[in-house]
Amino acid sequence: MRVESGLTVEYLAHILNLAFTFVALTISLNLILGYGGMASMAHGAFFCIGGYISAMATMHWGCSFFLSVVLAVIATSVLGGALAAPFIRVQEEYLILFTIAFQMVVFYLMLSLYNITGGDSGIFGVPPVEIFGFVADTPGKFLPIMTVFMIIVFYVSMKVTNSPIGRVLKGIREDDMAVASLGKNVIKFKVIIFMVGTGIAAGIGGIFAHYTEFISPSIGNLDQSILIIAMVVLGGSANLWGSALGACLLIIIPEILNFLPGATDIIVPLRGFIYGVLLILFMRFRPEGLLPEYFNLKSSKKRVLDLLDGVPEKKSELFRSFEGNPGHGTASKQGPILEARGISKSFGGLKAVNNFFLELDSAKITALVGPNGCGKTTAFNLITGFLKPDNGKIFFRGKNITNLPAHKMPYIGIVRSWQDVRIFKGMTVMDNLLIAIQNQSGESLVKLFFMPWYVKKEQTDNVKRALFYLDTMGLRRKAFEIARNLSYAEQKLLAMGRLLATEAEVLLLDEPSSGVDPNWVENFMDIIKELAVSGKTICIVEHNLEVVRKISDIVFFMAEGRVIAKGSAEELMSDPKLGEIYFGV
Amino acid sequence: MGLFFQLLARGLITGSLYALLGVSWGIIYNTTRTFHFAHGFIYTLAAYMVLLSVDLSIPLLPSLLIGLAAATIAGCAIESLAYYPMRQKDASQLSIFLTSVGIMIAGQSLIHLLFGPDSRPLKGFPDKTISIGTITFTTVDLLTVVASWGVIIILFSFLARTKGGMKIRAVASNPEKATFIGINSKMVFILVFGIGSFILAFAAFLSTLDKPANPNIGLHALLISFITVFLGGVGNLGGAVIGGIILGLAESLVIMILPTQYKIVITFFILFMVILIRPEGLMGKKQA
Repeated sequence: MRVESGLTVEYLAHILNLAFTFVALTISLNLILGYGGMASMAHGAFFCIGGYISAMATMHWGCSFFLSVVLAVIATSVLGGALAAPFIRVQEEYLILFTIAFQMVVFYLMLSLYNITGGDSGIFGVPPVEIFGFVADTPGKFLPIMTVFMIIVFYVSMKVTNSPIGRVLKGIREDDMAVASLGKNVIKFKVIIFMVGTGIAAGIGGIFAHYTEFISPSIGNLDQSILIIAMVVLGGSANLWGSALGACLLIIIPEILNFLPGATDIIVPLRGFIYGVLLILFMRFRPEGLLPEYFNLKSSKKRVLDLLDGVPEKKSELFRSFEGNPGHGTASKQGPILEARGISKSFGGLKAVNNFFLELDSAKITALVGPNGCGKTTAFNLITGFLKPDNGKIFFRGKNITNLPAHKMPYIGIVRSWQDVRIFKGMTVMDNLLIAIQNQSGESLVKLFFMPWYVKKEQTDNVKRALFYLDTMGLRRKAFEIARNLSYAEQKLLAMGRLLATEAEVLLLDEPSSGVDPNWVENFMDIIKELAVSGKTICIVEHNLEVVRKISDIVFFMAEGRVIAKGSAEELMSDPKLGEIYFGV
Repeated sequence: MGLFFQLLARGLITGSLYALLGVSWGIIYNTTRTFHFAHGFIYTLAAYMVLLSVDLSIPLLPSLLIGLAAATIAGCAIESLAYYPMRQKDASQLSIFLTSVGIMIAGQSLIHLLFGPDSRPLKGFPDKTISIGTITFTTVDLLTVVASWGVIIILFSFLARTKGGMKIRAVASNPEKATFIGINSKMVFILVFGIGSFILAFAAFLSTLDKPANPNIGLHALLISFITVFLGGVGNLGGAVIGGIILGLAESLVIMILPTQYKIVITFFILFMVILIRPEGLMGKKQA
């Protein structure tokens, strides 16, 4: 490829190609950084690795251009995902650690492996882009091809971020524990989006190497990675149009500077200085970027509103339809449905839960009461897999589930709520419910791209299901409110609706009625009673003894990490000793 | 065998410097949990301030002091002008990190613009070779070892014995409770940024005596600093010292098996294996 200097048509085409390349790269990093909430400092490295794999595939292994790019995408995303997964597992800082280290290692390794990479001077003679016999050996001829690639990248990214995967990722950015409690494997989703972003970067690397007919380690150094980060931040995290804008600005500004006399020698540090300062200023004064996160309400709203028209609004009679659920009518079955035996947990030297036991009978309401700090919430965390017990066992329908991770619990039929509602405040009420629905095919990339009709049909069904739970909770009119704008009681209703939308059989409710006024407490009690009647097995942690007395079938009394009494509410409340412990008199 | 001992000595010399880098970043990270990327810029700044002073024919020792002062001021300024206001606004860890990246890249580019891309050696310290048996090293190596351990020992006794040190440890172990008992965490944060940057400037000085400086040297120092900390274990400054020595030894001894250009790969390999098997680091505490 040759580019004449000066303002020629070919030069302008080259600048456009460059800009489009970075638009695609920035979009791919936005998937990781903006949507995934993970700072990858190695995007340049993945771009470069993709470039090398693709270049070598066409030069030495006899692959066609197209095949070489596919190869680069697959190989790089698998490599990136496999290496990054152990770090993603730990904490957000660890991915930063990994990506910087990886970026540096790849760069130095490529410089030293000159037999393969050409070292500092790189490899010349990468064949030009060739598709169906059309050889794009000038910037002008390449421009249409690059445009198509950019559109494909945009389309794929749009599709992924608007899918249930995008919804789960948004949930993870707000509250990863709440997402896990709804049965989503947080690590899996983070690794998936990391691999998608990385794969796209590698693919663009492959295309770019064939366009410039050259590849060297320095096209993907740390500066390049930081430049792409600056483009994402400048344009706007979690906004794909923002990425396009950010990339164009940061490509075009230095090109204009290039025309200033004497600027050519200092263009690299000057560019670094400019985007460094932009990064600082934007993070401080406009962290959402030029185009803030785009809230895709319109299209989904219309779709759902059409559905709404067809379904008459009913209120709590809808509970009857729970009858189809598993678990209904199993009350007569032998033995408890969920059972914890002798579980203990220490933090440091403190035994928070000590030889604790709990039995939940099917379709009954069990209350767990006790003074503050007696270990009720810890017990919930142990039963639902958020903490691992030091010893003891937990059984569900006779099966040992002691070591099952939290995100698998809703799948087998156990969900928990949180004391502080923990709804996704930045999402719509509708999305809060949709995210809770189990086994969505739209959460699988393969199904999303290869069975789109199936995913679409299922999504329509899911909206109907979500609508059912909205009606159950009386929240239909709020379907498209951002959850943050709901009153506290409505937020609690939403949290409850979200729990029901998982369609789990056992509900562990952490203070379902706390913080709301008496009228609402009544309302919550009715809901819980109706749920038990419909066949749900319920365990509540509750401070309001009035509520406990009115709704619970059986009460477990906890103090200092142990269950010290078990019986009906009347029995326990008439025991003066327990009263003393409870009220600390 | 002679080669082994020579490499062992080399590894310990490099390891001492790495341990110093590790504690300089570790004291900041352990206390404030800020992924302080701009540490790399402060390293470069310190080296260039020393070089500039020497160019202005200021003797080496006062030049070192100028470098130390510049780094300390820059570190405190970054905390109080850039990170602190963001923490006040409840900015995410990620945004503070990205700000730090911005400072690093802008600062490094500014040094490049002002001083040019060329490597500059730091002259003025007598550089002689010393041989003991089969082991040879230079006076600069000797100074590096003595000064690194001197600084590390002073830092640890400061943390263990003084009131300031106690406050730092209190904030590091539980920032909220520290505030309850009347510790001004804002001042403690600025203090650790100052201390960390001061120690870093020392490392930059020692390393520039050995190898010439260029505008990009900060990056490698930064990489070593935080790999050392995560390797040794977050929350345990002693871990950073151990991590530094392990990295230094590994980089050096690997030459017996692999060509020298692979030493960075070994660093990464060690990090990867440790995180895979023990995510909390070698000396870190397991989280509940």
